[in-house]
Amino acid sequence: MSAITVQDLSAGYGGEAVISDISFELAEQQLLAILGPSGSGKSTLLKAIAGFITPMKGSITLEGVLVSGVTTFVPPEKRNIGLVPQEGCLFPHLDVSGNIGFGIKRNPNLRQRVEELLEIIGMKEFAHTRPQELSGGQQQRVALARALAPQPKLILLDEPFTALDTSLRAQMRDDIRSILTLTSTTAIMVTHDQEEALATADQLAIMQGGKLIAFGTPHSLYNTPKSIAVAQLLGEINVIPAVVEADRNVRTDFGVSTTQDSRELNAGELGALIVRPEAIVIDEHSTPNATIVDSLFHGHDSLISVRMDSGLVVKLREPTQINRAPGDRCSVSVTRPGTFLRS
Amino acid sequence: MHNKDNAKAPFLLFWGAALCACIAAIPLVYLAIRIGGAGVREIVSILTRLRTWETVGISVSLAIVVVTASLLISYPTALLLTRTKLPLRRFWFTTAALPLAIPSYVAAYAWIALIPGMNGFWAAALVLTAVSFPYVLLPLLVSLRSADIGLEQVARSLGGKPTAAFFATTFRQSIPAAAAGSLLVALYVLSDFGAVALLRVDAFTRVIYTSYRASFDRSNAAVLAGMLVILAVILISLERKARGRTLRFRADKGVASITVPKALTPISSALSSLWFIAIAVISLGIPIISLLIRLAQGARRPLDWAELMSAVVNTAWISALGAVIAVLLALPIAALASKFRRKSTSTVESISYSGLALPGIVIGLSLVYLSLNTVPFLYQSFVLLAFAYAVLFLPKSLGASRSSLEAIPPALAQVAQTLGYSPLRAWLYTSGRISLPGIAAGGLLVMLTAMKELPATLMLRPTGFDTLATELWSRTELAAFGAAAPYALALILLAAIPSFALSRSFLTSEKETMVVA
Repeated sequence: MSAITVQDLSAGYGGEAVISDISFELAEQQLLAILGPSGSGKSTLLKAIAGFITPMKGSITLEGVLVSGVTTFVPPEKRNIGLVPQEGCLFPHLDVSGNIGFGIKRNPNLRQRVEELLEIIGMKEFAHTRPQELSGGQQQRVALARALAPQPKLILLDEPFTALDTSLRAQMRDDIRSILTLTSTTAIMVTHDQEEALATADQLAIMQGGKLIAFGTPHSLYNTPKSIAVAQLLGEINVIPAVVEADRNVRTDFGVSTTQDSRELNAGELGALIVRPEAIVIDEHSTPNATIVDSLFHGHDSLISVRMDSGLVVKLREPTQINRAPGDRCSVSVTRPGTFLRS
Repeated sequence: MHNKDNAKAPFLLFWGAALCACIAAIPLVYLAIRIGGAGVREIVSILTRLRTWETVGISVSLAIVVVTASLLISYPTALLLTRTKLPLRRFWFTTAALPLAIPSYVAAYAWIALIPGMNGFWAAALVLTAVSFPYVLLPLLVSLRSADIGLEQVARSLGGKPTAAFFATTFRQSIPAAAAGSLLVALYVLSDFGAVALLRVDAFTRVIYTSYRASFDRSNAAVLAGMLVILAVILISLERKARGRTLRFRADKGVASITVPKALTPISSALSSLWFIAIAVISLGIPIISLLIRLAQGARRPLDWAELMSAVVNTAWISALGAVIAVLLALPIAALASKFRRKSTSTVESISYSGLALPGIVIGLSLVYLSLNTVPFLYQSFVLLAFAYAVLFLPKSLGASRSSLEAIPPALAQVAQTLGYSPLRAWLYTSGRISLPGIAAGGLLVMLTAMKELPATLMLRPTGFDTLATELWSRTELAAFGAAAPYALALILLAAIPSFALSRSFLTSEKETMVVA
């Protein structure tokens, strides 16, 4: 059984739809990241799932139980969905234990459960600390424990790492990931950071302009995107004009290559090959076929722009030990051809 | 998640808040009904009376004189405080708001006690200026302090002389603040009853009171009250506009260059100190010394401690009751306005601010008519008096509740909801609980302000029920000046508390600026 099923969901404010026709299904114990630029409707989708806005159309089913449909609307307090808002939003008048125990006051094993959670988030010694005295990362972990306390069917995380320093983010990402795995919790996380989404999620949903434009594993969406928009949202791409020769072979300025696409392609079709910069390399020993235009230093690698003798400009990633100067001649080739998209 | 939603407010919250706002608007509405009941001919006859327009003339000229005097005092004072290394600068800063602590009728009484027979237009102008000029001085200080001196430096680098550069830049930036403050002073003068009554100036409030006492001409009182409300509404809307412009001037301040205070020569230093001493003597020294003299003289006759204590107790509990009602009325409105920004919610909020446009005397008058005509058993009851306080000072409670609620992210209540709390319980356990200190502070402010209220108390108090303000009033009517002094001093002590709080919050912001500098 899927943990959550969303069907044809449209929702918004004051009669105006912000998101429309959203459909997806998420299996239990999976982490779904919703990725999209600001204003794409990510937070609205989260609010609709939590029950803070009434959808205009469509349905939401939690573990087989309809919580939002044409005639059904279960209020947030009856949905058993946990929420971790941006910046944690701990209750400032309660200490860490008070925050974690807030949702299970009637539970006879309250103290035991709170201690268990303190253990899970590794903050036993902070039981009586006030939220104001915690670091951003600690606050975030307490907020997660608070949401986990009543053993919800689903946890919603709204940009949980935005408020943290870059150095802390990767650590927090791993922490939250392992806490969710440890507690076998299904979770949906909203983010606008593609690196974060790719690194954390089991499933990835990409939103743009209020629509769900792609859904799948990070791996499949990164390597075989179904549109240029999706490809671009997940990182730098080269759009290389291509024509289908036969079967899955396409011809580009780099010669003939076989695409990673599994679809049937017809000979003579025009389109483009989507190639990631790390799939293009500079070959020191071949005859030069391009000129360096520009090199952007990124520390672990450099993003280099080259102009092919045919006039096409492509970007490629290369380890930084070699220094490339604009005007240098070189030979470039594609090692891993990407998806072919019809124009 | 956004701090303010475009979303529709919950049905119950919206209509609960709307109900509270309507309750607060009862005095205003009933006044309109009462005026309408007088009939067109009666209204026209009152409006064409020479005496009516004399009253308008006196009130308006009094407001103009007091505003002009306040500006003349405030500009040099503010410039000396913000731009020079004046001796005792911090001390003068702290005392800037203190004159507001002296109720106008206490100041008037103190002056009369010192100079028996003092009365008339210019006497009232002096007393009212002395107690209300900080309304101009305080915003002006804030504006001059935060004005970006960079503009003035640019003007000078372009060849302007220092004075010309100042008038072209910083002075212009300070105009909205001075305008907003001036309108507050004008509103204070128009609504003031105590000073004009004691100094026998036939301004609006005094004429309304005497017409009301002379029971044969109550339509006259109602129509004059209506005219006073219209004037007040005009002043308030102008003040809002001016204040809006102040905000815009300061909106994108960034890291503004801050003025480096100029050192003063010994002579100018002495002259400036003299200026500050003179202001302090007139606004604080004379009233307090005069009261102390009277107290010493009155001490020859034994003070009735029991009577004083009973007045203190009465004052405290009736004001506290008013504050509780004000907080209860303000809460739903504040909860609505802090969370939902829509046209309908702003309307509800504006209605509840009607107390700003209703001088105490007008609320008193309206509630007297209302109770006599529709609910006679409430006439001169504690409930009605407390209700009058609540309506009068609702804006204070609303402001405090609203700003403390606004500081709380709505996500807190949402988290509580996802943890199984119903919307109301979620709100009570999070936003409500966290904003409690702020809401209580607002209530306390209402209570302290209500303690010195005079005109509405005079008209609505139950027979035989005396507060500090009414005891003082009845003693001055009997010309028992010495006996009034303890009551006057007790009132000043009570009223000083919120003024101290005001100065303190002002000082803290001063410290912050100094850190930046």
